[in-house]
Amino acid sequence: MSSDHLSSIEHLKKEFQKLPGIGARSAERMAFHVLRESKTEADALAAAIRAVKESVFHCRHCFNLTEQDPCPICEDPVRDRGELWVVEQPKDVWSLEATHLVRGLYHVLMGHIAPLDGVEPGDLTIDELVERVKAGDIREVVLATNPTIEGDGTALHIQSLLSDYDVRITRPARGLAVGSPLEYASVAMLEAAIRGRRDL
Amino acid sequence: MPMIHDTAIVLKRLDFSESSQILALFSKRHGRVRVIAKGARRSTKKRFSPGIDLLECGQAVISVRHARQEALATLTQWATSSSYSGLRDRLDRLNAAQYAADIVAGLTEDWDPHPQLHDALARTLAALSETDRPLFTLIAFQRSLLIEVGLSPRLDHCVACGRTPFGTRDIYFSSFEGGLLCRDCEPARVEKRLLKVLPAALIAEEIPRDADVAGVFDILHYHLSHLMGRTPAAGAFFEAILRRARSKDQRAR
Repeated sequence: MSSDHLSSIEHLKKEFQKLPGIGARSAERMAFHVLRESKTEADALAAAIRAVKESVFHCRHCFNLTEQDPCPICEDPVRDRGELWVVEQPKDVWSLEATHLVRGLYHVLMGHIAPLDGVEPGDLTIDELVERVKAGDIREVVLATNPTIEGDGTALHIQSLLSDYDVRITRPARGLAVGSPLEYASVAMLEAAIRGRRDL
Repeated sequence: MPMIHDTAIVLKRLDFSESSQILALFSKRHGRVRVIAKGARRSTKKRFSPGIDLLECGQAVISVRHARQEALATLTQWATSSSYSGLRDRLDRLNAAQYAADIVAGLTEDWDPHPQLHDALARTLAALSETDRPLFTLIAFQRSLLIEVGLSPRLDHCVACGRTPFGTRDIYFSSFEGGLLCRDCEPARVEKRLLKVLPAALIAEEIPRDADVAGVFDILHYHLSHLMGRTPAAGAFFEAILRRARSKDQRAR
């Protein structure tokens, strides 16, 4: 049977297909799942999607995603206001928060410098980061950008901008993946681990 | 389905999906090849080194399915042989390496092999990861690339009238004309730049220590930009050098 006359299903399928990691077959399964669900369930899904677009925005201080401004992390009185973790994306904040080890505040750059892709420092929130450091409460900036060429380049660029300020600049350790055998480590991981080895 | 085994350097990388990347590789025996690396972003895939980063050199196995120029090939295996980790220690090294990759990507064609240029790029990345003077290393690579792709400018005589030497008179450089222009020939040319660097510094085997290194870089950068039809990705460090070279140029005028 042709599905041409079921244009609303096709439309929903095409919308699902735009989601990351969703191909045509998965989109079709999701569309038929929505059809099978009750109208209440489908309305709840639609409402959740609408709500996230209407109520989530970037914190004016740290640029993390939030539903209140400033965000709960920036507002938290228990946080160490002298420690600032700089990350590329809001989802990196989620990853670091999952460790329960970060006691400081965050600054989300909203990307990384990528000269080969035309992304320049002015496209990120680096100026706002420098302003936060200039304000003077911060004693350590942890440059937790990704350990890629672009992430490292971004960290080095920020380091050069902050070198004039009385602030400690650190970078998270890198090297071997915990729980993974040595034989699966890449040359880059091994090099980083060897160069960064420390006393036991 | 032909399989290619080759040594390659990653020139460009684009995250295509949650797990896949599109890469521009510069392979030794097959030239620039665009590939899709399915699953490369998942570190659990054993056929790829965990994550494939820019400017890495590695052993690639590539599956070519269709007429070569029309489709992305598929990267089926990648084992990193060198990540040039010293590049990540300094911004000038990193920017120089990205610049070198960009001019290779911009001035070579898919499936057009340049084994000597591949080796020159590998040597340049290795040298850059240790050097304290990345600008010198980068200028040497700019010149190697121009020679290898056959677009090296003529710097020993005027390309219009053939006269030499130039004496103390102003000398111009035209990328379109492919080299130097003397004072008599330059008025008829629209695309040109007054040369503030002595031609000897541009063609010397080793750039003299007292030469205006930023000026030499600037002229070659100008020529490469013209050939590529866009400005190579210089990065913050080299953009600052170019700004300084040009402001010095303007003050001299």
